[in-house]
Amino acid sequence: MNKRTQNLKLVIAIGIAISSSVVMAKDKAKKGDSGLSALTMKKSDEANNDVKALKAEIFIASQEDKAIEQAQKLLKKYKGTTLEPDILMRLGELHLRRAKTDRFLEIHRTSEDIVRIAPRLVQNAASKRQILSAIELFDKIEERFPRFDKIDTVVFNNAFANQQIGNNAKAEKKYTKLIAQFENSLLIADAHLAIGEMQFNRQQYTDALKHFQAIRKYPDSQVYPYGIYKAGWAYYNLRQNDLGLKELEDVIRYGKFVKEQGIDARLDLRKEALLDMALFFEDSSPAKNAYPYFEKQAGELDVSPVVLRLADLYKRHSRHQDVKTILTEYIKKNPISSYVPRAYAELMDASEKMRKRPDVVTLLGNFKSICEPSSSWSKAQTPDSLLQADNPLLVFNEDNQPNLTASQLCTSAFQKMALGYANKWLKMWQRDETQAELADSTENSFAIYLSSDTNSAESYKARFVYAELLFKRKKYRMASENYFIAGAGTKDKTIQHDAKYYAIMALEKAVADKWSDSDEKQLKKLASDYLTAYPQGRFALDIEFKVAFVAYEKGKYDEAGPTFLKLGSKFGNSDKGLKAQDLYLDTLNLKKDYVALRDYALQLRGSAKGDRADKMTKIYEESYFLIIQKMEDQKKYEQAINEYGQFAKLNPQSKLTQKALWNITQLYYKLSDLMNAANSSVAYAEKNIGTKEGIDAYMKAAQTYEALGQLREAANVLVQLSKYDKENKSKWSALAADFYYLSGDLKSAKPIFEMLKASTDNKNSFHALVQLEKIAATEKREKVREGYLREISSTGHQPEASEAAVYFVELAYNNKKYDDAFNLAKKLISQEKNGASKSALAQARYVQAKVLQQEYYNQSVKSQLERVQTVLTLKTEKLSKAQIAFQSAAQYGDPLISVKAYSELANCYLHYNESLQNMPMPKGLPEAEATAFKNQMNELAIPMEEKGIETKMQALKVAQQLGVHDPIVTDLQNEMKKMNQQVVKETAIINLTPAEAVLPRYEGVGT
Amino acid sequence: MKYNMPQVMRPLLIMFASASRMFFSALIVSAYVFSVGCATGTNSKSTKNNLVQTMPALANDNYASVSAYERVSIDQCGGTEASWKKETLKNLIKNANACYILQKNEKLQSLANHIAQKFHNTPWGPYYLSLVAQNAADYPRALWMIELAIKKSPKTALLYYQKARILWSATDFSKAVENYNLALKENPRFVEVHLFLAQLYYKEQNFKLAEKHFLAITEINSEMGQAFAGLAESRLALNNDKSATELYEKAVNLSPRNIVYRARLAGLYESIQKDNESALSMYKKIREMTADNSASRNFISFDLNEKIKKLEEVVARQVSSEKKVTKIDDKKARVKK
Repeated sequence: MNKRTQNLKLVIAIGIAISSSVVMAKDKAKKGDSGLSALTMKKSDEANNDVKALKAEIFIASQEDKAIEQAQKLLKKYKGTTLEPDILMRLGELHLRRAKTDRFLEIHRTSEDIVRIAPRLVQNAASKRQILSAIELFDKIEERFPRFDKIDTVVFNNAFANQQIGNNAKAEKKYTKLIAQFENSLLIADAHLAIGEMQFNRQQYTDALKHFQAIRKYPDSQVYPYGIYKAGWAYYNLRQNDLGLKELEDVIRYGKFVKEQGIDARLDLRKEALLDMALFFEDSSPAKNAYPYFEKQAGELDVSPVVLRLADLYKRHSRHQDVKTILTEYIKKNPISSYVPRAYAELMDASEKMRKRPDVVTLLGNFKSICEPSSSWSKAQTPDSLLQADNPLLVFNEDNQPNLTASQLCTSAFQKMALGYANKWLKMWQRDETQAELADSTENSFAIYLSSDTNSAESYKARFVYAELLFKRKKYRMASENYFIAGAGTKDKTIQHDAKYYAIMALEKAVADKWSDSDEKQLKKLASDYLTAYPQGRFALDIEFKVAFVAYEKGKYDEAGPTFLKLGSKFGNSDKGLKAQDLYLDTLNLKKDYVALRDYALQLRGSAKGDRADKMTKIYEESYFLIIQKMEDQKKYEQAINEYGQFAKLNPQSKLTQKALWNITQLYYKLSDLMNAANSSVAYAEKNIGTKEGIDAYMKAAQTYEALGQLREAANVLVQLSKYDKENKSKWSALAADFYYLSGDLKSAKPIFEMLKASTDNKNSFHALVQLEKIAATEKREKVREGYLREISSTGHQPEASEAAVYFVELAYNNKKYDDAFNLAKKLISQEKNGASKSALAQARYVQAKVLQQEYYNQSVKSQLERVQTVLTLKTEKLSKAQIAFQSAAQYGDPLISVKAYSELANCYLHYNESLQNMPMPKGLPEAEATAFKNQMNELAIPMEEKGIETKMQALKVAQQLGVHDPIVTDLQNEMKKMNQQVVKETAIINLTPAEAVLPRYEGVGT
Repeated sequence: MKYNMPQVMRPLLIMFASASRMFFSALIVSAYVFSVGCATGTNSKSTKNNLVQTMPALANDNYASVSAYERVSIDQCGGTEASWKKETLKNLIKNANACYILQKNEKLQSLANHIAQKFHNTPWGPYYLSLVAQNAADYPRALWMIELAIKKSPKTALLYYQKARILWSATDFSKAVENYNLALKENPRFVEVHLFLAQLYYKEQNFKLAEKHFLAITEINSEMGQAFAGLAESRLALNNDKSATELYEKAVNLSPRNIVYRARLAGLYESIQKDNESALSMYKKIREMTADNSASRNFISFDLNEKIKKLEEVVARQVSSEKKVTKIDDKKARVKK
């Protein structure tokens, strides 16, 4: 307040003081280059401007010094004349003017630039001295020339000078003197004003009001409106706002009068009054009345400044709703005012203060709308209006950019505000993320801003922040879009990089692992964007991996595979590289490209260690197996067999090698190639020695060889089987030896049988013994064979034991050791109850019969007459014994022995017949009785002959009945023939020829 | 930024699943293969496996005795393991037959082994191996092999026939006859079996059975003179003389060069039919046939010329007496007139 009044006064004083100098200066300028052009101020060049101001002051000081010097010369010249007081007054006034220059220098005494340019002048500057000089001169005039016609002016200037140096008491005294002594002076109103101002400054408002009201008596005075104006202020300070307002309303009315009358415009203080009325109004009236009131008061003047002033006052006093009230109405009533942007700014500020952020957002939207070039507001702002210094829009041109349109300035302001709010709210929200409304407002604010500013550096930064906010608020898709735009537009390398990457990340979040085709397409686009800009970027691997992974998840293995392969190769030492490798393996697996899978796993295994190497090995082996499995599915069995073989060869330590070998076996079986199946079973077993699987394989091999009739091979396998299948060792060994035996490989068979023979396995031990006996027989090693036979016999194991015993019975008989033969046979027959073989028993009994037959044959019938009866009795007894023996031999049921027994029995009878018929005449038999004896013998013999022939016939019949196809049948026939028995037919035509081999015809055996 | 990558366990899971399938299929293969048959060794010893598959019997008209085969060349018993691999079963059988006929036992052994391995579902590998063993008098092996062959084709009569032959060679005559009869059971029209049994029974004076088998042959093959002769002899032994002459006439017709049959027929004309003229005619034919080959006369146990001379006299006397009878009859006829 005081400052304002002081300034006004100073303006007036300067205007008075320097008018001559200014006139002079203007004159000089008219003549051409005054040199002042170099002193012209330029905006935004403070340092130079100071220097220029200094130079101007130096110039003025020099002119003033010249003027003072001239005045002093005139004073000397006109000393004592009527001109002296006038010259003195002028000189005083020049000192006052000079004081002003010195004050400037004093103010800038600390400035190095100014001191450097005029050190002396600055050093010597002394404004107070100049004023004191002036006061001295004015005092002198008052003293020496009290009747000077301009004495009222001198008194006033003296008061003014004293007032300047703070000598207010003297000043007030001088002003009072003027009012009191010079009632007709034109300066009375000014004196009232000066005294009022000083009292006002001393807060003596009532006193001051009197002086200000005194000015109303001088309506022609230049200070008239100012006096009313100050009276208003006095009322205001006396808390009489209504009266103050009335004073200011008078000032406005006077201003209108001045304007209408074309009087000095400086007397039109309406603008100042209007602005101050806002202050008075704010305290005294409700806001709802404000706009109509000021609209009326402003009249032709723009109401905007006062409205904004009032809004500002409301704001200062936190009357934000009042701000809203007045500015809302203002904007409504003044939609195209150049103050509207400011009004919006204040309005938004008020809403913000009231934390009504949605309102702010709405206002931002409206603000943005009016700023658009096509808006009625923009169109209403003429370019010329922007040239006016007081255009409120200029405050938005902070950088003083030339040629900006109102729309641009407005937009600039709007953007600044929008971004300001957005950033402010963002920070607030970041401190408390639960405030959804705040976040929404932030988001909207950014959005509105970004819809206005699409490609400035600031906007890209803002968009990045906006995207960050969206991301945080889980609005990922929008975030991605904004990241992308920010990344594409910004020149900031850091933001560019991060934005490009975050765009992908946000998209990924938005998709939530459910990638539509369009999202995947977008991902590829974003990835390409990043990778093109940053092929070696920090996230290049992640991004490439992600793109490939999405393709992989969507089953686009051809698309994903190459990327995984590349990443796996390039980043094989990183976790992600390893994952890429794994996924490439998986794609190959899903594509069922087992060949590639196998080869890739093998490749990876080369550089892998530990568990991973094991894993790769497992995949390699299993994929290799699947390849072969596929061959099997395609029935390419032979190829599969080769591959399994190759697998086993390449991977001898693999667990699957065992299975490979097994599968080879099975495939051979499938191919019905049993020989190879058996061979491969052996190979499998050799790889699985001692295991159950190995034993099973050996067993199957043996079975297969056996089925193929390959007995030597079967035997070889059984030998192996006997080594590992401990439980069945004897069984397999015996079978092996049997097969060797059947193969004619006695050399291999014998040691096994001998081993078995010595074993505790009774069953196989005995079997071995039997087989060894057969081998010995085959090899014609009779002694050895007999040894085995004795062993067999001694075991009591029937029927083999009895059959072995028979050998010795027959051997003894053939060697004519009849007693031995008989006794051995007897011993054997005693084993009947122990299960001896019927055949063996029959043979044994038959041998006994043969021994008895021999004794019978050997019983001579040659004798003395007296012994004939005895001899014949002996012969008959022996016949009887032989007969019983043969008959019992025949009874055992062995067809051949039966036939033989009957045949031999027949021989016995025939022998008896022959013996009697050929019996020598007993010594001592008279010749006359010889014929009778002969006849008697014949009578005895003939029935025996008939019985012999009959028995032979029976033998032949038994042979036929029992189907004995032995040569003995032929022998019997021949014997019968010799005996002229008709029972035997001529057989010359029919001969028994050996049955010929019959061969299959090749045409009928199939393919 | 961190991606939540899934752990790559799927390849392994998939491959474990695939592997399971694979091994399961292997088990299926196993079950498929080991489902049939069993061979036995000596003393009925074997691995007791069921690996031998059975196949249908060879058709009865698809085999023939060695003598029925035409002459074979040594080339037909050729080849090596390598060349046999490319051959069909038919060709291999052709080769094996040739080897057997030529008694190339070593080659036949190799070839039989090859057939046994490659065509293991047929009985022919072990069949030929039994023939080889039989030739080597290795009867245990021969028997083992033919039994294996029988396992593979238990309805093929030929195999029982071969087994019977082996048993006969091994002097196990009764079992041999049993197997001949088994062969007949599978093929009642097995001529070679009938012939052997007919001869065997005839030799053993079991003429009923001999007649039965000879008759069977004549019914199967009406062109076999030997059978008709055998049947005739069997009936003669059974005192069925009349049909014997007819049968011998058939035998001579079927085997016109067989002088034994002719001589036997001539004897039947002479002794049973009392047809001296026919007998004389037949003896003269024999003399004519043997005129160029005196050695063939050895098949005749009597003096042919003497026989003819005597018969000529008998026939002449018969003619003379017949003429007298004729004159008397003529006179009687004239008297009546």
